[in-house]
Parts: sequence; C-alpha cells; structure tokens
Amino acid sequence: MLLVARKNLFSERTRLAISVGGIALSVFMISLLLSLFRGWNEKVGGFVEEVQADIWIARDGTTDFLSAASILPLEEGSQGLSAIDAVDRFSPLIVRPMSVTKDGKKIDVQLVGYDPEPGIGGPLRIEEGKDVPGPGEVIVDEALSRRYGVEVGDTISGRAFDLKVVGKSSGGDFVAMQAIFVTLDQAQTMLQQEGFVTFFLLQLKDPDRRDQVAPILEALQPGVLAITSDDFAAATRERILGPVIPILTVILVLAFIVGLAVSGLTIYTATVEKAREYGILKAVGFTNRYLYRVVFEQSLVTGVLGFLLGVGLTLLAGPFAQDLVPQFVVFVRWQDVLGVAGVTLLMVLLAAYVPVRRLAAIDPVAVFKA
Amino acid sequence: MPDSRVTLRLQNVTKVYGVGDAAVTALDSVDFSAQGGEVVMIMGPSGAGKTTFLTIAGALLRPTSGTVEIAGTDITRLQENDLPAVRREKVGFIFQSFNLLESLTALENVRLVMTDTTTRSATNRARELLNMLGLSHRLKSLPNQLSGGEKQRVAIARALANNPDLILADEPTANLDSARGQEVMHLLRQIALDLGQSVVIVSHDHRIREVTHRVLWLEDGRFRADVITARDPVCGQLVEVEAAPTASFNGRSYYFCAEQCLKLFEAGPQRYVEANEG
Repeated sequence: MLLVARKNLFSERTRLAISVGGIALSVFMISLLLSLFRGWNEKVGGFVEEVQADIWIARDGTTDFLSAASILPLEEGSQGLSAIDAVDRFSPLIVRPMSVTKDGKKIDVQLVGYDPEPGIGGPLRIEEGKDVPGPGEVIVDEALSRRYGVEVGDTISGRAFDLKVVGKSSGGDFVAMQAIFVTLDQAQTMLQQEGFVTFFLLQLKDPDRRDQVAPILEALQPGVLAITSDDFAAATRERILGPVIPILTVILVLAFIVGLAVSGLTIYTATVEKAREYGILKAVGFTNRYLYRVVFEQSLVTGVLGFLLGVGLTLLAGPFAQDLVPQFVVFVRWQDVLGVAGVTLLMVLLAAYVPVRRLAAIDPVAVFKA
Repeated sequence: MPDSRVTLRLQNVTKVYGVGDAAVTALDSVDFSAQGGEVVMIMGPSGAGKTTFLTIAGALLRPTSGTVEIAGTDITRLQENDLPAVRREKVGFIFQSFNLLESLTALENVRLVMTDTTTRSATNRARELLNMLGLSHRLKSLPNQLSGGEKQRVAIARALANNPDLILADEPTANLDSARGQEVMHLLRQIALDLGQSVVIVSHDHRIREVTHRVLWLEDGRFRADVITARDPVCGQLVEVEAAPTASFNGRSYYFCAEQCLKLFEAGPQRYVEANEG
C-alpha cells in the first residue's frame, strides 16, 4: 500500500470509522438479507428436493407443494401407474395445510399422510423417537417442536382427532409452517377423503430419463401434471418466494446505495480536504495515475475492512437472530459471500470515481499561493 | 563560486493568459539563465510575473512561446505526461507555506518524493539529508510538531531528495522570523555552493539579497536592468524608486511601497530613521 494512502487513511480515525461503518452496515444488510433468502429458499423447496421421488404426479393446475389443491383417485391412479413400465415404485401422498392445537394453542402445520410401506414422502431424517407413526400417532418436525414446545409423548389435536407425538424428524420446516407426518390411512380418515390423495410420488427404473418420462405420463393420463422433483421444488419456491423477491431486491439496492453514499461521501470529503496536498504531490512530480492509486487504495482498504466487519456481523448475528425469531432462517453460502465481496468492490470503485475525477482537475500551480 | 553548467535557461519566453481583449501578458519575451552553484534572486512588485516565471521554470506551466531548458532538456518539446518526471528528478521546490504533507513525519515527507523507491536506501538518504540540515532529532515528528524554521528545513531536504539540478524557492522566508529566514537563506547558499545546484528565489524580502549572487528585478513581465531600488523604511520592502511614493526628512528622500507606509512614516519619521540607522 502506498505510504500516502496508508497515512491519509489511518490518520483520520473517525472518518475511517464512519466510512468502514457505512460499508459494514451495507454489507451486513445485503449479506443478511441474502442469507435469509437462501435460508427460506432452502427450507421451502428442500423437502420436495430431498424426497426420494423422481417425478411427482398431481392434478393439472397444481402450482406447488405447500398449497396444493390436487385431488387424485387412489385406486385408479395406482392401477394406471402399475401398468407403466418405466415406473419402478410409486407411493401416494396426502398433503394439506391445516391447524392443530396443543394445550388449546393453535399451530399451523402441513399435514403429510404417507404410506409407510414404500416410505416415499415420509419424514426425511428421524431425530428422536419412532421411525414410523402408527394409527393415532404423529411424527413432528423438530422446528415445530422448538417453536411450540411440542415434545415426544405430547398430544396434539386436529379435526377432532387426537394424535400422540411419537417422534421428531428434520427437513420438514417450511418457515411459515412445519410438517407433521401421519400414515396415509390416518390422513384419509382425518380429512374425510377416503379414496383420494394429493400426489403420487414415482421412482423410475432409470431416473436419468425423468425429463423424458414426465411428458409421456401427462400424455397417457390427461388432466394430470407430471413434474420432476427439481422442477416441482423450483415451482414451490417460486410460488412462495416469488412475491418476496422484488421487495428483497429493492431493499438490497437501498442497502447498496447506503453503503455507496456513506463511503462515497467520506472518501470525497477526505479528497477535497487533502486537495492542497494532492496539488503539492502534483507540483513535486507525482503523476495523476499515482494520485488515483492513492484514492483507490484508500477506498479499497475501507471496503475490505467494511466487508470483513459486515460479514463478521452477519455470521455472528444470524444464529442469534434465528434463536430469537424462528422464522429468521439464515443460510450463509460462500458463493453469496463472494458475491457480496464483488458488490463491495463495485461500491468502493464507484465511491472513488468522483474524487478521482476531482483529482484530475487540481492545478498544481495553486500550491504556490500561501 | 558558480560553475559553467547552465541548469536553467529561458529564451524569449512569453506567457499570455486569456485571449482577445481579456489577454494579460504575464511574461514578455523573457531571457534568463542560471548556472550551477548560483543563487539568483528575483524581485519585483506584486503582479510582475514572478510566480508565472517560477511555475514555467519549474515545468508546471507551459509558456505561450519561447523555450525553457532544465539541465539541458528542452521541456517545451516534451509531452504533458513527461513533465512530472522532469519536476521530480530535475527540480526541487521550496514553497512559502512549506507545503509538507500533514499526515507524514519529517522523514516520510522527504522519503516520499525519492525516485529511488528502495525503501532502505530512500530512508537512509532522507535521514542523511535531515541530519545535514540539523533535524536528526525531528525525524519522526509530524509537521504540526515542528517550528516554522524546522518545517522549511524539511521542505529543503525534500527539495534536495533527488539531487536536482535546480531548486526553485517561492518566498522561502516569508513565514519565518528574521533569524530563521537568514538561517534558511544561508543554508540554501551553502547547498548551492557545496552541491553545485542552482537556486532561484522569488522573494520580496530584501534582507536575503546579501546571500545571493545576483538580484533581478521583474516588472510588467520583463527583467529590468535600469531599476534603482531603495528600502521602505517602514516595512523594509525593496521598492522601485521611480514609481514609489516619496517623502523627505532631514534633507534626505525616503521611498515607500504604498501610501500606508508613507503615512506611518510621516506620523513619526524619527522612529523609522533611527531604527534603520541603528
């Protein structure tokens, strides 16, 4: 680092602190919002992605997993799928958002009724208790347990049925609500929809052919939607998070502008205050390029310090916030950290642009005036 | 004594600011040369073109016409991008208000401008220069911790950092008291003699005339050889007799830089006459 840049930067500690603070605040806001988005993204689509299904079958018009209004005939569907050579195994699944109560307290959940025999669509990972629920039993997601204090051995009620909690699983947290798993029969009884299911989950003999098989299935059975797991996860994410993205983008842009404004103003005022000294440097033989480097280095170091502070704050505050507010799911990805580093670099380059233009206009002859 | 090397030569240099009716000629066909080891002082009234002369001689400003050579290099033929290197390598500047960088120590101010960027050798040379100028105890002091005389000595060390052929000094004693001013001037003279550098000084301070080899009078953009000068008894400034307000006292004529000094003199001439005679 150039001597002048280093001395100018660190001799004005207050200004440096303001500048670094501004960038850190901006980086903190950007990285926290990005991590929050990633966390939601992970949670909302994660279950669909992780379920061991190659293709999901639903009623045509179904948009996503969480608010699916799909109704498929169980018998007819099962018979049809059994006749398809490309299908290795399949399993019906009932999914319905609903409310349950525990000790009179209302809890929004995503009821998932699955067939324990093939086991497709059931709890992703058992963390505590039984692997499979029996009649009148339920396995709850651990996020639900944390948020509402539902423990193994407790009883929750829904649709006039009492369900005994026999296990806890993970991977069924959708941020706004969590999955509870019951058997398919239990779900049919509770929802009074015997003979009907929400989805069929298919495992193919050749999973690599899922993109080719899905349209064939749709052609064979008009009125159904056959969609690969990845596409269904993406559709679920888009459905739930799509409306949030424009708002998030606006906030990210505002955070960027805040960082740019604070760093730009502090770097500009520092340059203006030192205009005479830059004039002296010009007079005694330093080139414009050298002066530009001085300003860019100051800006860059400010940016690096602000970035480290901002990312550090995110890493510290993220888990803390998540403990306080369960919906505040933060997932920090190194790719996003790299992206924020790029944004910070852009910020400091822009912040240095105006001061650098001013440097070019400084007349060294002015330093002869007392 | 000055040697035969010409370190600065201006030939037929004219500088005109503005165009048309607004044109002002700051330098008018000026010829000038300075030799190695020579200390030249340029005096003249305000607006005479002294600063323009200095900035053109220092490759900071291009003349409208004429040629300027610094240590044999015709800088009027150089591209704008080449001039900073000339200033840094061939010219040392000393300013009226010292112009040190406030966040840098004395040592760093000198080291900064060195073209030899090897940290150790640059630091050693800067230390040597400051030691030579009697500032060995002030190496790590910031400019705001130095006296005016010390600041100017740091500025001189900075001007000498790249062993330039030419040193240009703009009112180097203006912000110093009489004793410090004399000290700085003797230092510049000694440097010129010992190191063979030309020192061109622009100043109003008549007290430093005695340490220079030549004094030139610049007025209306031209050097004038036929100027008779006298010292203003009130402020001490050297003034051109022909154009100055005048007063007589005890049968002797006195000349003033301005009406204000004349009035002060007339209010109590005895005081100024005695002070000057004393």
